[in-house]
Amino acid sequence: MSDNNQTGCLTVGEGVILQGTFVVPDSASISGNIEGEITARELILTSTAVIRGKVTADVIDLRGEIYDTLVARKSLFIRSTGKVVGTVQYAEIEIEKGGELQGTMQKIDPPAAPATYVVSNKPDTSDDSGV
Amino acid sequence: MFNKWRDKEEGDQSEESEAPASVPVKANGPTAGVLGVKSTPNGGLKPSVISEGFEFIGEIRSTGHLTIDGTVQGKLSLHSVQIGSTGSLDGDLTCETVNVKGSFSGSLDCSDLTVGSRAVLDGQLSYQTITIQRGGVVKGEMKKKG
Repeated sequence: MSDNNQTGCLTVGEGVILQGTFVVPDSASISGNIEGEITARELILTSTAVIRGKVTADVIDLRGEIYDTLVARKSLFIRSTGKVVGTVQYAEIEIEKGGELQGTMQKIDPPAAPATYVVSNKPDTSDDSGV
Repeated sequence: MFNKWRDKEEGDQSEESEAPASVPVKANGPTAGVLGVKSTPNGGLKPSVISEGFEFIGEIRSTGHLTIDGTVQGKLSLHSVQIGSTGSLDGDLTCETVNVKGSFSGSLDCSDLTVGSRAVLDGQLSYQTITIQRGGVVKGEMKKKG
């Protein structure tokens, strides 16, 4: 999806090891290992991806593993190979059978407007799930 | 009159391919054979139902299935439990298979946990496999067994 316009995108290939703090304005596609902190609008982890540290994104699509802290400001989708161990904050969550979730779960309210970028002024009305 | 809420409930759940509360929950689930009456897994137990508007406080032990559409507080040990969209359970639940569409709070120990899109779970949840449908809410401590 980031093939056409890679502005603000990060791609980490399988076998690549990164350490540090990463701020990705748009989409991050991770197949390698990251140690540290990563913030993105959209975070896609393939089945070979492992992140240890703090992960913050609006949308997270997880086939790999995240250890420590995960904040999904809008939605978190854990696929069957996905695994999260640690503290998880999410506005909306979905887990496929086989997905793994261990630790402290906390539901947060989705942002009324995007926090790190401005695309739309429309408030997020997708929160019909809180009841 | 009595059927009214049930009709309504079926309407509410029409998007999900589940049977009404009075019959076994999953066609391929552990209690599926009970539907045939002749075959008797789980010691031949028929599924039990705590209906909407029914409140139960206490301890339940069974190797069969329980559907909770009402309110239950206490300690439960069963083979399989479904908490319907109108149901709520507050307490300790030990179970093989749990399907939650309503609300649960307390301590849950199970093998197979399914969280429906309008379900709310809060507490200590221990499972082997978990499925959460979009919109389901899970709060508290999660632990994967084995």
